[in-house]
Amino acid sequence: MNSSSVYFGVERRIHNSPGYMGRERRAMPWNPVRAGDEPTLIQYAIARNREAFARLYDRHVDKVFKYIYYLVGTKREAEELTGQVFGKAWQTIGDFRWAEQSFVAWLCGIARQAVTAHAPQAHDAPIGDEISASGLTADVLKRALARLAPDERQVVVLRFVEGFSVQQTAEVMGKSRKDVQTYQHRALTELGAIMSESPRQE
Amino acid sequence: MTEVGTMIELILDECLEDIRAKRATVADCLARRPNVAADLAPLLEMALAIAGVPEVRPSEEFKRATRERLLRLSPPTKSNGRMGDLGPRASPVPDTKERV
Repeated sequence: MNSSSVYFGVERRIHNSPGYMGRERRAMPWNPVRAGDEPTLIQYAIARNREAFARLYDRHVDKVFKYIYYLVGTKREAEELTGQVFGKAWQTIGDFRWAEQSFVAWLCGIARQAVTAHAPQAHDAPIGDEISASGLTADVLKRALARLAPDERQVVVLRFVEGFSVQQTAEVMGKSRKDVQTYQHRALTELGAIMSESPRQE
Repeated sequence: MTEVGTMIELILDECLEDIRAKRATVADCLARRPNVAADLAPLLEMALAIAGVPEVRPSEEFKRATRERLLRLSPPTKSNGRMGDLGPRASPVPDTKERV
């Protein structure tokens, strides 16, 4: 596809939209940013449109926060880092390339760099008996994850909390699919052992 | 990694994908692979338990404040002058905020 034509396609859609009445009258009921799909929003954000970037933020902030939350100490720390990730994303959005990964995977890649220095503190206290009858809680999971190696922790969060595919996980982590499969197996095995350190309360 | 270990990694991944795509249940996966079912079962159960953990979200106050801050940020200083994968910028993109 001709890259320029895609960009001009955005312009054409504005001018061909039913509500467009020309520059003079400045009436524009169809707003490409408000109605925009993700590729359109990204195009506008790359062209430094803050509103488009804010819409991308609205779409992905929960996902980015969730990813960071499981990799750092506190909710407050996770919020602070989430804000930093979007600030960095705004500064570097010109580097984003569709062909390489999805936008959310790109954001998680930035988040991954941000959390490197914020590894959660691991506690050795058994947590198996904290699993309630209603199942695993976010807090217990987070503490169990803190006892895994960093790459295993990342794989668990990306694969099972975020729901990324093996391919997407590999892209975010800069690893091979095979590496992700290995970390996944190892992490689930270790988590199983951590969770069963003391009997469950049924 | 032994050959058996590698095989389990692949089978585990295959099962997880099938379960995620709703092509199979845990029971289906285990029934299809009786020779590794004992090893596979706790891994699949753990993966499902993690996926079932209640969602954590940032506070609404944080989300609102960060959004406002983003809308006030100055334009990126780092730019390579291209439109993502769309080639060089051909003309300024209209500021849609003004037209609303």
